Amino acid sequence: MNPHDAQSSLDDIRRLQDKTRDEYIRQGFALPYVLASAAGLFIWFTSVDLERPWSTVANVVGIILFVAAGIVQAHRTAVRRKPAVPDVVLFAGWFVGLMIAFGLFRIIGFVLFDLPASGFVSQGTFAAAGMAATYVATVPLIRRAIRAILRQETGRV
Amino acid sequence: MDPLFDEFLHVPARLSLVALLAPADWVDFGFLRDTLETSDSALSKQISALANAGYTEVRKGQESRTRRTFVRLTPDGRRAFERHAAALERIVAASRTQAGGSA
Repeated sequence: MNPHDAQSSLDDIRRLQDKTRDEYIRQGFALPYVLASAAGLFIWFTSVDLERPWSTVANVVGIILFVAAGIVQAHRTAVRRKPAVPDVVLFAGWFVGLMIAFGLFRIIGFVLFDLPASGFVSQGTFAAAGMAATYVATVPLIRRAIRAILRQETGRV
Repeated sequence: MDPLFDEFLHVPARLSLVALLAPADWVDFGFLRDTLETSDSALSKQISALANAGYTEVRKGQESRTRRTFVRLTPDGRRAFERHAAALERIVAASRTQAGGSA
């Protein structure tokens, strides 16, 4: 085997590995699932300022929508991969960040718009909308982070 | 030849298939076929050859109304791929060292 052929084989290997990674990321963060998850988050967190029984209904519907979007996405994807520790840390950090965003939007809703603390048009609804928008806006960052994790996993080739 | 170089794996169709499988756990047969731009029968033949060598594993399942086939590298297959890629890198690195030494 001459070095030129070896280099050519390595280039092919890297190109094909990138195709698998791209497919995993493309399907994992496909727009319909991102929007369904964002809607689930919005409904779930809107529930905090609603009165019973609507708070319970919104809570259950929101969680089901959020989880179902993840399950359907995982089921339909062509490239499957077990989440590794860095993935779990990344997603946990993302969720914590979204919770912080929810708190900040709630304060903004109170301070800037003088929104009430309960009801449908409230600080909670405003904060849930801000949180859902933050979720969608941060997807490209998470996508980039997942790509870096995938490259590290098979980084030797 | 580098002792880690795997003649069986270096067949282009097999090496391409293994490279696609390496970053994932299970990969859909249809994705492999479309990415490699090959036919069902040609891909099945390579998967069978790799499975007979203990490098791949196949899982067939029914999802919704469609039958889906998934393929993955076995731990042996993954190790063989990593060894082979390391051999290719060593061949390239050795040629660079020689070129650097003769310059």
